[in-house]
Order: sequence, then C-alpha cells, then structure tokens
Amino acid sequence: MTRTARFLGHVAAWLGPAGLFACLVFAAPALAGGTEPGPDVVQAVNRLTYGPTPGLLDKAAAMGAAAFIDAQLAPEPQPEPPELERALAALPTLHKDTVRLFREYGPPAEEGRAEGPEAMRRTFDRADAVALEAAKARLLRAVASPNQLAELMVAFWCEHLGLGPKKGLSHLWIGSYEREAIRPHALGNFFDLLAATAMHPAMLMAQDNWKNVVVREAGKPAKDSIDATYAAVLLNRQTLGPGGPQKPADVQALARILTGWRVGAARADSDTGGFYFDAERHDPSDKTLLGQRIKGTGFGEGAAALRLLVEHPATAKNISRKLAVYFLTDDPPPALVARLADTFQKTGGDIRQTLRALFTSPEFQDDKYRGGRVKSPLRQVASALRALGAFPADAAGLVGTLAALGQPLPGDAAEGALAPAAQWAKAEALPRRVSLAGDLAAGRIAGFPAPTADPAALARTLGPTLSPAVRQAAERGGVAVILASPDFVRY
Amino acid sequence: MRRRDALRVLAGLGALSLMPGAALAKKADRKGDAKSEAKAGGREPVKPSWREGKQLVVVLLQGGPDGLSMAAPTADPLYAVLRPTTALTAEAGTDLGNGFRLHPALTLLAPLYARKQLAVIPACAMPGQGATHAAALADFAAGAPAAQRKGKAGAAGWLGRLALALGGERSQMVVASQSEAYDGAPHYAMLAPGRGESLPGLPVEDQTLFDAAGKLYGQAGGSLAKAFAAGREARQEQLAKLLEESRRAAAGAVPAPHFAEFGPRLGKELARRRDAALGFVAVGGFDTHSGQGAAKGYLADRLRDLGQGLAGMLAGLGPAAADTVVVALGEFGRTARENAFGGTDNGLGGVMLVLGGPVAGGRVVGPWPGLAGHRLAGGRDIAAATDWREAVAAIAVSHLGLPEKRIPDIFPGLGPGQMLGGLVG
Repeated sequence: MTRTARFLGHVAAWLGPAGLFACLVFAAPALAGGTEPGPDVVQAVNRLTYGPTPGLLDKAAAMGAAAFIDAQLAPEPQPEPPELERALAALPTLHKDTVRLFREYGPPAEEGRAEGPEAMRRTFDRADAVALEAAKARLLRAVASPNQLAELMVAFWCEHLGLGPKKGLSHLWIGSYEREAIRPHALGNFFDLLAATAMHPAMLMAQDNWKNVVVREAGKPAKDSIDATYAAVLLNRQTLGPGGPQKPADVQALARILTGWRVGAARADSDTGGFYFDAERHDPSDKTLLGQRIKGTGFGEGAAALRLLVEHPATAKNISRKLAVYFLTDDPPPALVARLADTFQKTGGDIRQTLRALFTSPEFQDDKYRGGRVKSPLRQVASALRALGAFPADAAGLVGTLAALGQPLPGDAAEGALAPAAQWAKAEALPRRVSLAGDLAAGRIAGFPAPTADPAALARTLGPTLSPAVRQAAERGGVAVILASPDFVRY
Repeated sequence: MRRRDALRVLAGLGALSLMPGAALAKKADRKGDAKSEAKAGGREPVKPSWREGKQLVVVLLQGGPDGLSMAAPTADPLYAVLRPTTALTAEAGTDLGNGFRLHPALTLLAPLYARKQLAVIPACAMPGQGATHAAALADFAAGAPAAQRKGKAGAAGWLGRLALALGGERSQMVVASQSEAYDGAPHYAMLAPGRGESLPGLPVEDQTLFDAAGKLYGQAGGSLAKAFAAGREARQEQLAKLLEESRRAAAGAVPAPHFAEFGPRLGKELARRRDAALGFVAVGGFDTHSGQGAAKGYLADRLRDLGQGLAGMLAGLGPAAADTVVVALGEFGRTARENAFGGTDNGLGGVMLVLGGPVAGGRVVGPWPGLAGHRLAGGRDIAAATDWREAVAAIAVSHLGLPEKRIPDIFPGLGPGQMLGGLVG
C-alpha cells in the first residue's frame, strides 16, 4: 500500500460510509494542486466541530462553508464509525434506561436501610462506575462522532440544564439523563428539551423537586412542603436567566405548579422513565406566574408553565446569548443576540433554526472572531485526538486528564463547568496544555498509545490554522510542538 | 561468634555496641530513661517475653511510596482516571488477586508471594497522622499521631518501647539508619550502610518542548504570551519546591539504589545477630512529586531497587528468614490523583509489605476502601483502612512473643489485643 493510499484508507475509515465520498473530494483538490481551505471554511469547521480530522478541512473546502454548515445541521444523523460503535458497545450501562439502571445499580430494596452508611457507599460506588461510562462515551463521541455539531450541543445542554454537583443518586443517571432527555432534543425544540429534563428523575433528584410536595388530608391541602430549588434554577438559569423579569413570588408559584412531580416506579404507561405525577401531593390551587393565571389543572399546569417560559422573550434572549457565547465569542454583539432571539421566538424555540441564524450571520464570519478563542480542556483533548486521527483504546486516562486540566466531565468527580474561554487562557492553565501535548505525543496517557501521525501529516490536517513558525518548529520538535503551540490551543 | 560475645558483654555493661565508622554515641544513662519509662507506663517491669531467635525488621520507605503503583488496583475503573500517566495496565506485573497487581519492577518479590511468604496490605496508614514528611516521620517514630502522644511515653520511639517490652534491659537491636523510632531502646548495633550509589534526582517535564512552546507563545505575543510566560515561571517555581522537598525527604535514609546492594549485607548481619529481636533501616527515594512514570520510569527504578534489596535481605538471612518477619512501609502514602507534574503528592494510605517465613502471605490483606471520591480521605487520599500498627502488633504478639495486653504500651491509642489477626502463622 502506498503512503497516500494508506492515508486515504485512514480517512475513509474515519468517515465511515461517507468515506469514499470524502476520499474523492479529498483527492480532487490534491490532484489539482490543492486549494487552501478559506478562512470561512476554517471558521465553520473550527466552531461546528471539535476540530479538523485528517482531510476534513479539504472536504469542507470542496463543499463550501455553507454546505458544511447545512450538513451539520441536517436532521438525519450520520452513522457512527465502527470503531466508535465498538467502543460504545463495550460500555454496557450505556444501553440501559433510567428505570433499569436503578433496578440493577440502585440501592438493594431491603438490605440498603439495614446496613446503613456502608450500604449507601456501595450504592454510590456502583453509581460512580455507571457515571464513568457516561463520561467515557461523551469523550469518545466528541472525538469520533461524525455528528460533531450535535455532540457540541449535547455538551452545551448538559451544562445549561446540568444536574449540578453530585446529589443522592442523581449521578447514577448522568448518562441516562443525557441519552433520554438531552440527546433526542439537542438540535430540536427547546420546549421538548426542557420538558424532558423537567420530568427526568436525574433532574428531579438533583434539584430536589421530588420532595416538593403539598400534603393533602381528605382531599384538602393540609401541609406545605414546598421546595423551590428546581423552580429557582429553572427560572434564573435555564429559561428567563439572570436579570429576567422573575420575582421571588414567581419562583414560589412555579414551585407550587411543579408540586407532585416526583420519581416513582412505573405504575402506568404514561409514567415512563421513572417520572411520576403524584396528584395527591400536588397543590390544586390556581397560580399566577409572571402575571399569567395558571389554572389548577394538575399535571397540565406544568406543561402550561413551561410553555409560558419557553415563549418568553427573556428566555429567547438568555438562550440566544449563551449560544453566541458558546459558538462565537465571550462578548457577543447585542444585535446578533437580538436577531437570534427573534428567530428563537418566531420558531417557537427551534434550536436548529436559531443555530442556523447564528452560523449564517455576518458576525459568525467576522475576522475579529476568528482564531481568538482558547480551547476548553475537552476541546483541547478531543481536537488533538481528532487531528492525530487516533482513537483511544480506553478513554479512562483521557477522562482523568480532563479533570486534571480543570474541566471534569459529568460523571467524573464533579460536574464539568462550561466556563467562558477566558478562563482557559489563565496563566496556570496554559503550561498544562504543553505537558498534555508531550504526554499525548509520547503515548504516556493510559489507553492512548503514541500516535503514528508525523508532523507533516498533522500539519496537513490542520491546514492554514498553523503558522509557518509552528510548522518549522515541528520539523525539529515533532507533533508535540504542534499540539503545544498557541496555534493549536486557539481556534 | 567472638564479636557477638563481645557485643553481649558490652550490652551487659549497659554500654552500646558500636560498629566502626558509624558510632552512635548513645549514653549509658539511657538505662535510667528506660526504667522511668517503664514505671511511667504504670507497670512493674515485666520479665522478658521475647521468643529467642525471632526477629522483626522494619524497613521504612522514606518519602512515602505510591501504594497505587506498588500494588495497583487495576481492576478499579477509576484507577486510570485518577492516574492518566502513572497507571499500570491490567496486564502489567504479577496478579495478586482481589483486583491488584504487583508492580513489574517488584518482580523479584513475586516468587515470595507465590510461596505465601509475602502479604500485601493496601490502604495502610495510621489514622490521624501528620501530612508533612516531618510530622509523619515523627508520628511514625512515636507510633501514635501527635494528638495521642502524652507524657514521657510519647518521648520514646515505638521500637524502643517494643525492645524494652520484649527483652527488657538486655534487648538487642540492629539498625542501619538513624531514627527516633528506636529512641529509648537500651542497646542497638549500628550497621553502617557505607557509601554506594546515590539517589538520582526526580525527572522533570520535557524542557525542550516547553522551550519550543515558549518561543512560539512569545512570537504570538499579546495577552496569551504574557499568560504563558507567567504560568511557566510559576510552574517552574512550584516544581523546584517539590524537587527540593523530595530531596529532603530522603535525608538520613539509605538511598534506594544503594539499598539494592546493601540489602543482602543487612540480611547476613541480621542472620548473625539472632540475639536482636528488632532491626531497622530507612530507605530513601519514594517522594515522587514529578515524573513518577508507570511500568517504567523513576518510581519503577526505585521499586526495582527495593525489590532487589528486600529479596537480597531475605537471601542474606538464609535459614534465619524462617524466623524473621520484614515489614516495609512508608511514613505515608500518596494522593489518589496524580499531580500536574506526572507525579503524586503526599497522601495518607499506602501499601505495607510483610515478608518472611512466618508470614501467612500470598494474599492481599485488609479491606480496600476504593477510589471513588466518597471513599477517599479528604476527597484526595487513599483512606486508612488498615492501621499499620495493628499489623505490627500482630507480628509483635504472634511472632516475637509480646503479651497482647502490652500492645497499648507500644502503640498508645491501640487497645490490648487490638491487632490484625492471622498475619503471621
């Protein structure tokens, strides 16, 4: 096999069924003497993916930036490469739903209480092992999934609609929360997404809504046990956002609306996934939320309230701004945010359309937003593996590396925080990227042997994002220099 | 034999047995201390309980070796997460059972494990002990954490108290390093380890790569260049501090590379000195704050030294190994998570090795608390699941002949009979 053929074969393997097409589009410009991917293509690839894989920039250049963006926004996901499928299949808890996870890994029905704290710790041990598989899957998909934008959005929503620090057994469901509540709607409709998270046992446990109840006696409310934790998070963070129109009374009203939203065994066909609406623990009175009358209709109130929140302009602005921060810049221009919010509202919270408005905006291709961001640790690791065209045998070491770099994945010890990029440019963070580069290049990280890519191949993959100075330094210092360079740390 | 007789004579006179060149000029007036100490314990001096010929040798692994490398819990899914660059693979070394693997550099000890003459105690530490080298060494020597040390009893070392409890005024001991652990002992012979290979410095991260990156950041300019320069300087300062700490942590101990050749000599001396119930040596080089490595690397080299030294010591003991128990442990263990320099920092739980003919070995002894965040001490260290003092108490009682009720005299804080059962046969 010639070197080129091997390289093309490698690209084909990476792109799965789309590989042949990729090889053709890759080969065409190469034969024609090569066309440098333009800055718009580089921007689209850098921002809509975790970074270029071998041949990806050329493929995107052949398609054009607009078509590349369209492809990432396409509703039909591309099939995952066999390597990724195999790696995910080796993580057995990934294929279990919330109820099953609880039955198999939750506290034993009887024994739990009798044995006290040690039995509880054993349950947490099992939950940790399950959560770790979710963290590994997240990383593996970030590296190898062809549906890169969807993966970026899963990470985005898992943070925005995050479960917070470990609480009770909620982390047993970190993975099933992502699979059942986030993934199906990551590019879909925000109302569906919000409703799915509101009804997920992981959220009900993590934000304490399971104990947000009104106790009734003889049909009449007898004792309030209102817990407004979730209502406050829902208003102040997930929907209207900080600085929204909400008053403390709205938090209380929303909490009352959500009374009786609990976790329970599946009792009826409608109570799937561990959610249970306990009408006996619900406050039946009428409520006023953001000046709107919500009639006491039981479970339906919650849907009405969520609809009201999703349609509120403050929510549109909150979500739009956060998306612009995530994909473009820490300080997005207000005009852009206003246009995105407009799309969000007009489309009834259509995430895909809002993103399309962002990616096709003139601001998205504004020179001043190109190449200025410092990668998050997740992006640093994922982009390095992608650029090297390498796939880890076991992701555990890399998951640990992310925690060491200050961004643990959910499922690792702590909830990962999606901080603005500026945090990653801090003095202490940068040298660690250099040692990471050295570790990756030398194959020192558990489960990730030394990559075979040479500096020239890596430079080809990264195309115009690398300056001549870095290319030159890499001739002597090898791939580690490229991975450690400011050109690679920025995107 | 003549020398041994001479030593006995000296011992009988209350003087110290001395090895040329390593004179430990302890004064004869220690006797007085010893007596008052025995009284301070609230007991009449009891008649010697030592089973003649039985020996316990304590090898202090100074600096605190990494238990997760010595006996690696490779079956724990969190192991590689906590140790991205310092974890052993599930195929490395020798299977110890229970999900643990013996570090490949300790391969010379594997046959002992197979012969059931080596027991491995993971998550071993003294609960409540100090977190710095100095504090932990003081706690180790006293056999009690600072909070539990009271009065005169606290002034002596636990080996000193054990010597008195076993053999009274006639008690003999062979030591090869200085330590407060045998303060209060009536007699000891110092075996000078002599000069040998010294301890190499810890490896540091690839400076060529850092220089190349630094140049590129400099050229890039702007705030990123400034941040990088500041970050690198801070990192180098931090690293320098850690390297200095590691260097100090080995002070006074036999450097591990030298222990590899000294071990057999120590073993032979211990075989000759069957009048000594106790032996002590400190081995330095385990404070791996940087560039620890995994199956290969700095720690692997030190563990190979240790394995050679211990195996050589047992070989040197010859038939006497059947009457000797050797314990090897650090003043503490290391953090569960590796640090930013590919090393590990000072932690709590470590691994204790128990070797020798009388050991009921070939197994991992004691509970394993696990690596989950809620299992770690302070969220960062391996918890102290087994108190090393209980293991030593078991050896002192079952092997050396110490009455169970005297355990609290040796280890303040432990109750009479509080010991790790079944450790020695």
